[in-house]
Parts: sequence; structure tokens; C-alpha cells
Amino acid sequence: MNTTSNASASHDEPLVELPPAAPLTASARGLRERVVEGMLAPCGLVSLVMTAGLVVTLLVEAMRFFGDVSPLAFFGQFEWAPRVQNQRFGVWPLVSGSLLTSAVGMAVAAPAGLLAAIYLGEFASPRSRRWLKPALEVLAGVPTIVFGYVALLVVTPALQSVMADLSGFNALSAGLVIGIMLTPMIFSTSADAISAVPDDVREAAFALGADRLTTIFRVVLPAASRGIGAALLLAFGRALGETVVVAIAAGHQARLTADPTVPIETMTGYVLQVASSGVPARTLEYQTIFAVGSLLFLITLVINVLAHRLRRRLRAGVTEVS
Amino acid sequence: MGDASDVVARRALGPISSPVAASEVEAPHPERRARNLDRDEGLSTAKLTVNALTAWFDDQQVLTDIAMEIPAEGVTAVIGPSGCGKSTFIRILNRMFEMKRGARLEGRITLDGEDIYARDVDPVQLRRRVGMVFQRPNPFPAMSVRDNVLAGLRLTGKVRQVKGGDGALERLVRQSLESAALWDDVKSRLDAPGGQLSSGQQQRLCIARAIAMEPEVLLMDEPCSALDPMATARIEDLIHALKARYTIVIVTHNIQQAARVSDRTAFFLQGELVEYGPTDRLFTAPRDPRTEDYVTGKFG
Repeated sequence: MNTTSNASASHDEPLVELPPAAPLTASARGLRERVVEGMLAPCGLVSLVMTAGLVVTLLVEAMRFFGDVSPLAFFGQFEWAPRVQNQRFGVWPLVSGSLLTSAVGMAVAAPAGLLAAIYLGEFASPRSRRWLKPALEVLAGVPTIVFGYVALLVVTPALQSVMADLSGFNALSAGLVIGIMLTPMIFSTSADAISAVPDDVREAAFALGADRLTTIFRVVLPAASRGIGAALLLAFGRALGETVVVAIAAGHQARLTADPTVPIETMTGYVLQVASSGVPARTLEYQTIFAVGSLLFLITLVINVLAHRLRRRLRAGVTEVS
Repeated sequence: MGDASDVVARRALGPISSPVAASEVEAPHPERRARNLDRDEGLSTAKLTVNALTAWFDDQQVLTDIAMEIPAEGVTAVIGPSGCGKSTFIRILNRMFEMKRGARLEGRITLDGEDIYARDVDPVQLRRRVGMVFQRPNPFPAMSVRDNVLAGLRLTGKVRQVKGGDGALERLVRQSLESAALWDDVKSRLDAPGGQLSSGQQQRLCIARAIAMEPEVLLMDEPCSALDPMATARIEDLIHALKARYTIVIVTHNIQQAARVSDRTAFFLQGELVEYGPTDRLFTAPRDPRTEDYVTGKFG
């Protein structure tokens, strides 16, 4: 109190002695900024070079593989048996395994995450909003190895008590647990999309006589649809790439099936299994993991690009409105 | 304004969501009626009447003992500085006020003599009769121009009750857009998203959307504050054209706009209705010194 009254009483004298104004052509500062810039640029380049190197390694080894096995066999056959005498390299059983666990996961995560986001955005009080979002997002920090053993040791036995013919390794348990893992991701991204819908739009709907539910499902969700679509796509890409849970709980039997109760093998599960089993480099079996990895990389790349474009158009849409 | 104990006693009546509070208000005090438009100031039958209206957001009183009659004819402007409660006031007229957390009120508000806060009143039906246009143009971003106009019917499920099918709906879209002076701008792009129009066009689309519901009253909450002068002029022309068909209540912080478009003006200050009278009289011969200070630009 005293200081402010003193300051206003004698405001001719400056409170703090500032350094004298520097000449406009201060070259020392320019040099320092150039040095910092020169040191930071390589740091940015490192990640770029690593990514490029990764893609090149992946593609080179995959090319080697396709030198021995025709892409026609890879994509045209429906049996994956790289280790038996009569080798078969039809990749579809692995793809179907990945799709199956991801589909089960999305069947859990999409409704759960979306409903949670709707609740948070439209119904929760500001006070519960403050702890609800971080609480759900903490789930995303649980190590996947924990989720994997939950699937194998908790979910599968629980399911077996009601489904007698469920195998010990199966796509269902793995998928369910992946769903739990993905829920916070879908929740968080779609909650952001829902809260990005301006309140004006909700008010307009209320003023026209729409009730709360109608407003949410006919006005707010369509307005947030691109963001929600992006959230679902990113989560799906993440589900396809999930490794540890499926390696632990889904089994290692590549088979082309839509039955989630039997053991299967996913693309990621196969790569992990081969990579950790000490297969010598330069063998055909070693190269298979690069072929499978390249395919997985391609699929998730396409999904991420789609999601990115959805989000970019979402931003463009929002600026149009405001 | 009542003293502290008075406020506490009123608060005990509870929120409007228990409608008992609204219907159990005492009869309007004779003195309160005195603040209404004088009978010789050209008042006909009131479309909306407000009596003993006091409103709160949580513990903060935002409107104090408002009494006001809004005639069916012409445009009524509500003016006042930011935070004077003018937006809150018109949101009470279509029960949008109660959508905000912590909002509650006391008093009696009637539309054609009917208490709009009575227990059996459906806010949805009320809002069909009392349309609203907002401060920022807010067309539904995911809907086409056409669907925006029909949004009220669609969102309330009334679209099925329209006789004459798609032809009738197309006529309604055209009529509403023509009434909003927007038809010529958008007739070739009815299927384009509403968000692609200019902001002035968006605001006229919002007016078209409101009048497609055939309301009796049109509330406008600072409808031009986000618009450039050209777009503002078009909206003001539109208000002149629409006032023959609708009772219009417009909130504005722009005194000149109130003078241009309205027949009556109500001046709000710190939650109180200071003065209410014919616009000409209020601007040329204000009776309250505070009104004079405001309309002559001494504050606000």
C-alpha cells in the first residue's frame, strides 16, 4: 500500500534504473541469435534424418524380401507360414488379425470415449470438468505391458467364466483392453472438438426451441464431426500399431478369421515375435518383418494423413464460422 | 433496491426451475406501473408485460425490480452501458436466461397476458413464438443455407407437420430468405454451407431462420455489433421492413442505432430501468438526468 502511494507521489523519479537505450545496430545480439539458430537447426534435422533413415531401412529390407518373394504371393495368398518347410507368405492373416483386435478395440473405445466427451462437454459442471478430464487422461499413462497382463490374466479368465469355448489367447480380450487404452485418447481429442464448437451455435438451437439432446446430436456433434472423425482415425491407427497387448494376450497363430475367440496373430505381434527370437539377419525370415513392418507403416501413414487433413479442414471450418 | 435482508428473503424463494417462485409473486405494486410508458405516449395493448422482475446469477443481482410494457406495434430498443443487464433482460423474455448456470429470477412476465414462467409453460413453445437473433452471426456450421432456414422446424420435429411436403418447405425457405432480404444473394447456393456467407449475410440468414418459425416477437441482441457499417445499414433497413409483422425488441449499445430504428427506448443502468419512453422524447427531452448523461455521451 505504502509503496504505491509513494510511487504515485513522486513519479518523476523512475522506480528502477533501466540501462541506457542500446544503439539500433546492436550486432552482439544479432551474432548471438545466429549462433543459437545455428545450434538449434541441427537438432531439428536429427529427427528428420532419423525418420528418413528409418523409412529407408524399412524399404531397403522390404525390397530385399520382395526380391525373393513376389508381391503377388505376399498379397495374393491367404496363408502366413514363414517357418514351415513349405513357406507361405500371404500377409492377409496378419492384416486380419490386426484389423480384428483394432475393430474390437474401436467398438469399445469409440462409444465410451465419445459419450464421455459429450458428457464432459455438455452436461458436467465446471467443477467436475476440472478433475474428470485429467483423471481419464491419466489412463493413457499406464504402461502397455500392464494392460497386456490385465488382458491375459484378468479379462480372459473373466470372459472364460461366461464363454466356455474362449481360448486362453484370443483377439477379444486383447481388443477389449486396447479399447480401454484408446478410450482416453478418443475422449480427449473429441472433447476438444466438442468444446471448439462455439456456444453461440448451441444458443441458436435452444432459441429455436430445440431441447438439449437434439442440440447435441443434430447441431453440436455435426459441427464437431471432423474433429471427432480425426480422433477416431488416429485412435484406429494407434490400435493397429499396438504391440505389447496383442503379443501377450492375442496369441501367435496367424489365421484368416473374423472369430475373436480364437488365437490370432497381428502384424505387430509377428514383428515382435521374430525380432525377439534371435533370427539371424539377412535371412528371408528376418526380412519378412521388414515387409510386414512396411505394410503396417503404409497403412498407419495413410490413416494419419487422412486424420491430419480432417483436422486441418476442421480448423478452416472454424475460422469460417467465427 | 431493497435492503440486505430483503434480498436474502427473496433469494430464499429459490430458482425458477421450481416455478412456484415465479407464480407466487405478489401483485404488481401501483407505483411500479407508474414507470411504464404513459398512456398518452401512444401505448396500445401490451404484447409483453414485465412486472417486479428481479434476476440473479448466483449471488449477483443483475436486474432489480423491472416493470415494463412492450406494445405489439413497432420496435422497442433497450439501451445502456455494458453490464447494465440489457442482454439479460431480453433473454428473460424467451426463457433463454434460465439456460445459464446459477440464473434465477422473480417476477411476472406475460406474453399476451399469459405468464411465460408459469409451471405448465413449455419453453420450447414459448421460443417458437418469441424468436431471437444473437450478437454474433451463428448459423449452424454443418448445415446448408436451406437447412439453416428450416433448422427450427427440423430441430423441433415440426417439419413433419408441415402440409404440402417439400414444395411447401421450399416456399417457406424462399419466403423467409426474401423477408430477410437475403434471397437474391443466396438463391443460387442454397446447398452451400451457411458458414460460407459473409458475416452480414450470415446475420440475415439467422434472421431468416428465426422468422421461418413465424414468431410473434423477434428479440435481437445487439444484432449488428459484429458487422461492418454497410452490413449494419442493411440489417437496420430490414428491421424497418419487419416491424410491421413482428413485435421487435432490440438490444443495442449503439445509441444512434436505437434512435434510427426504434419507436420506444428503454434505458437500463446497473440493472435498473431508468427511463422508458418514445424514442424521440427520450433522446430530446429525457426526464432522468442519468438518461440525459448517457444519451449525450457523457458516459457509456
